[in-house]
Amino acid sequence: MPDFRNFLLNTDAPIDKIVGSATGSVNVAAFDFEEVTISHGLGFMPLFYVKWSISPSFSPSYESQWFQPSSIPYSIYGTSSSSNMKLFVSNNSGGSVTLYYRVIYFMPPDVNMDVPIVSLDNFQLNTDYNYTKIIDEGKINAGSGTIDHNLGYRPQVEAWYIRDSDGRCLRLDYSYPEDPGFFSSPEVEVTTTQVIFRQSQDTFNNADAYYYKIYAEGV
Amino acid sequence: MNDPNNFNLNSDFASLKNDTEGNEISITISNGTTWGAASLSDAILGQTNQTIGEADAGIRAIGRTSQSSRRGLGTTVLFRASTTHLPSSTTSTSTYIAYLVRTSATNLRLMVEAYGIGGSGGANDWRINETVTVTFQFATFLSSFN
Repeated sequence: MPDFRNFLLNTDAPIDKIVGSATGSVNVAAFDFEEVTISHGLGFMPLFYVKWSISPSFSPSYESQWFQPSSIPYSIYGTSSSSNMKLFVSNNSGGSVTLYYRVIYFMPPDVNMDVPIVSLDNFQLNTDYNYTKIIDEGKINAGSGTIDHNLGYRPQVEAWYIRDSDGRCLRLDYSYPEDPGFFSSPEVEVTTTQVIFRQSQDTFNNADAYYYKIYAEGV
Repeated sequence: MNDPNNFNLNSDFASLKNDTEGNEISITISNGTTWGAASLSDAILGQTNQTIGEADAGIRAIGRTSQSSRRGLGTTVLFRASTTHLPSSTTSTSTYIAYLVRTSATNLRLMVEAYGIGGSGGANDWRINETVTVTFQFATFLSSFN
């Protein structure tokens, strides 16, 4: 296998392709919670990223996260199904707030179907930039599992899990390595040879399955 | 026909353009750090900034703490560290959260906080009992919305 890190693009290795997007805002009253439902129309349960901000300029910007740090009294995390995306938005402050969100969708590796063309940028491909090249992707149909990559370094990895309590897809965007418990989620550990998936110890967040992407590029 | 999984590269679809790769950011919370109502506001135990990239971007990260040999995927890591709750001096453990924030187009901040404990009993009523280091290795990719 060639070292794909030597290439910006390489036709032997797939890159991520954005198959849809959503953007918007939601107002949340003081110490309240909102659920935003977005129909994506894709016909399959997409993998996704969610980014949010307290400013329409997205500066500062935050990754989706279940946990709510005390210095940022707001949070957004998302789940997807075959018909919609749901954003769970909380405001733990004493005043109302408008939060802005951006969502991008990807097709899971076990889905094959035509989708509309999406143009989000001035350039779909631009050789001024490197593209993360997927060297392994797939689905683990179990609550735990290990994928050997044997790269000798820690690669970039993205992962999502299918929650068994409702069958929806969540991005694995945090970890709880020291205290698995009430708020825990499934974990992913990345080593220089393996990507290890571990089941949550919180039954509400048990994983039925995982989707993963392992990139040639290291973190 | 436009099934993206049939193509390794397909210029019909926007893709994620990498901004930076191979970065590392760390912060150490020293043994003896205290917080409370009149001390560290919102129980932010430490933060550090790093200039990074050229535009607003997504973050892909692997984080760990010195309390754990594991490297968790994601921009957030939660962990436990022991504290002594003053002035009653009862030893307890508390939950801490470390996370990455894109504070501007070209700046990224690592923050470490005591999760859910603001310290309401008075100044410096919480104290860290052991030094903890949080490290994230991360890459960033450009926002497709820009």
